[in-house]
Amino acid sequence: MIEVEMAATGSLGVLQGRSLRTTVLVDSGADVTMLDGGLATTLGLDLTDARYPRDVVGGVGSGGVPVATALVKMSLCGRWVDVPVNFTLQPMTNPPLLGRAGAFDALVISFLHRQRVVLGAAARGATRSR
Amino acid sequence: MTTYFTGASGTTFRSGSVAGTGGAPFSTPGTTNAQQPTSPPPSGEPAGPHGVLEWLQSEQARHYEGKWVLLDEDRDVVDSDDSPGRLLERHPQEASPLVVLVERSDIQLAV
Repeated sequence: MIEVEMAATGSLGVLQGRSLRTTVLVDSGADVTMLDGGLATTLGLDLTDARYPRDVVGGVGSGGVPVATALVKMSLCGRWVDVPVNFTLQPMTNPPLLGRAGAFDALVISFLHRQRVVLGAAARGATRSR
Repeated sequence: MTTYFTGASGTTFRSGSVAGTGGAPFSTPGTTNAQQPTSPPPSGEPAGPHGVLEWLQSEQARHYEGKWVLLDEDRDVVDSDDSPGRLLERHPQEASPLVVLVERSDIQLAV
């Protein structure tokens, strides 16, 4: 588990709402970060807005979970990176997950299984696709 | 399990313990619509608060790369920090703070 700070920005990187800190489980098996939708309000995101696409996602051993997806800034290893987040539209029963999209693109992560340690460092000059 | 995340300097800045392992791997059609905030927004999107684009393109803004900057109504720098939370905690009197993240210029665009 790691603690991350996140914030939502509008045009030109202007902060919306407030930033927040939360603890997330680094999950290399998750495609996309997943957080409880209740956090979106603090960030200044209105998930009812059509700009946040809705979907139903499934995981191993779980049924479909309705989500709305938004791009948020996340502080990872000293860098603010764009991370797509699936905000659940119903109370989340799993721990918050830090998935691969966005986050793993910007980091070099090592899982030292025997030592039960996760190491992470910002990748120099993170690559962004367009 | 202990988690160590280090910044570019190699110093440890996060630690914690794992309450569990695994977690359900969720699958979605993940798409990242990342954009350079210093670029003009696509047509149809609001252009942002007046004067912010000009400030982001200024030489002064380059001194704040990677930081969150609190600007006043004249687009002068009031304060800056690596964390928007800490920045706003220092200025609780700001009713409608204008805080901007200055993107780092070393991000490489893969075409």
